[in-house]
Amino acid sequence: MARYRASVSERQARAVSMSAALSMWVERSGDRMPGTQAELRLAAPDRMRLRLFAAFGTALDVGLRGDSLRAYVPSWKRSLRLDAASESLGIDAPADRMVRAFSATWQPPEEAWNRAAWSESLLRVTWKEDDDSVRVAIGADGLPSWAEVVMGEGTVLRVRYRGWDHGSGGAWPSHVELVDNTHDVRVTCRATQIRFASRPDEERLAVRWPPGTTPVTLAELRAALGRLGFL
Amino acid sequence: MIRGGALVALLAVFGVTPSFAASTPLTSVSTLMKKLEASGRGEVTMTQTVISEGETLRADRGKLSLEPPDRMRVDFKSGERVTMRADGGEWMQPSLRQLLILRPEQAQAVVSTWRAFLDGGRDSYRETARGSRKYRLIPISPDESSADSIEVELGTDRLPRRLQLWIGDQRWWLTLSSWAFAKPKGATAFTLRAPSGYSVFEWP
Repeated sequence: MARYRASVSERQARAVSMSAALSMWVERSGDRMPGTQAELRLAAPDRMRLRLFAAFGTALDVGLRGDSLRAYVPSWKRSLRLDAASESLGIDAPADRMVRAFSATWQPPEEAWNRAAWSESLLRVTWKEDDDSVRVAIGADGLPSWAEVVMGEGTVLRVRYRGWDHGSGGAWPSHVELVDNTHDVRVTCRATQIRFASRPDEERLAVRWPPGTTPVTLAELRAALGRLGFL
Repeated sequence: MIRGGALVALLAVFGVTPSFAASTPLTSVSTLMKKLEASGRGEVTMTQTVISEGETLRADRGKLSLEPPDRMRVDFKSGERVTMRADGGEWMQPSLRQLLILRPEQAQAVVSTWRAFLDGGRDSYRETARGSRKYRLIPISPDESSADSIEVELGTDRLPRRLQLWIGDQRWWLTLSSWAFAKPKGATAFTLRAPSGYSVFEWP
């Protein structure tokens, strides 16, 4: 428990400003989509930006900040702006959850540790966050093996930590798998060139688009991403 | 992703086709077109930089090969390769250990843009001289896959030396050196095969 807390505290401090190159693969209903290169930026507690690259520039640029989402598809000159993303996405605090998922900074409240139990060599800790239930399974090394968010309506988001980078001193998740069982989607991310800074780079966290960009709905963006093979 | 305007614009700027003679050529690429028509193949060393809001998204070196009327190949130093033909194309990505197959209709979409440019010439792009060897091209009927504008700078040999494309907020910068022309190698030189251990995907 002490090792887990110490490592989470260390990652929380680093997640204030982290960037990494990602290789990503999406698997939908067992079918693997083509992989893509991306850049991930985190600014804990609740800001992030993910840019997926095409051969000659950005294919998709997505930013989360609190409960707002911005997405921009440069090649189509289309953009999406959601100011209440949790309602549209069906996930409470989407930015906060995604930052915690990518930085492995799941922080159980004090009382949850009292109910923690060992199972299959993992210490399992469960707690409630509003209507959701959060579980984290911790290995003997003090690192999370997986975390799970069970949302009110039954959707389960599972994050598996399959590899860690120790190049910068502490452990940082370098091989992360996100699984949405409800939609049968699995996203595998491998991070390289992991870098930390003392403060967030505000300019590089912002998703912007030029004048003349056509706004689209979330449904239209999803359809477009489906055609591109991202979803 | 192939719809990214830069690739389309690259084909558009460098294209050449026998039917070209019937149209009015753009001054900025007329020397290149003549040389490609005469030899059948052109190669050039390229440096590519993609910039957005002052941030460099990509910086690569490589070689660009062209064979009229519809073949293009880019070999990046990183090992990444892209080929395009009328009957399809491939994109090899060693970092992802995958080969993406471009279907003929997808390649045709790109090639048709190329041909529209070539057949249209001045009917497709408004060309403005911005100095003795600099030209700006603006698509007359822009669509979502076209560059907003293209700037072509020629060397003393009248061959393209620098290209800048603006696509939305992205600026795509290409520096070209050591143009060489030779006999064409044919379609097999523009076809990629997946090495052992690579995943092969149809382009979505």
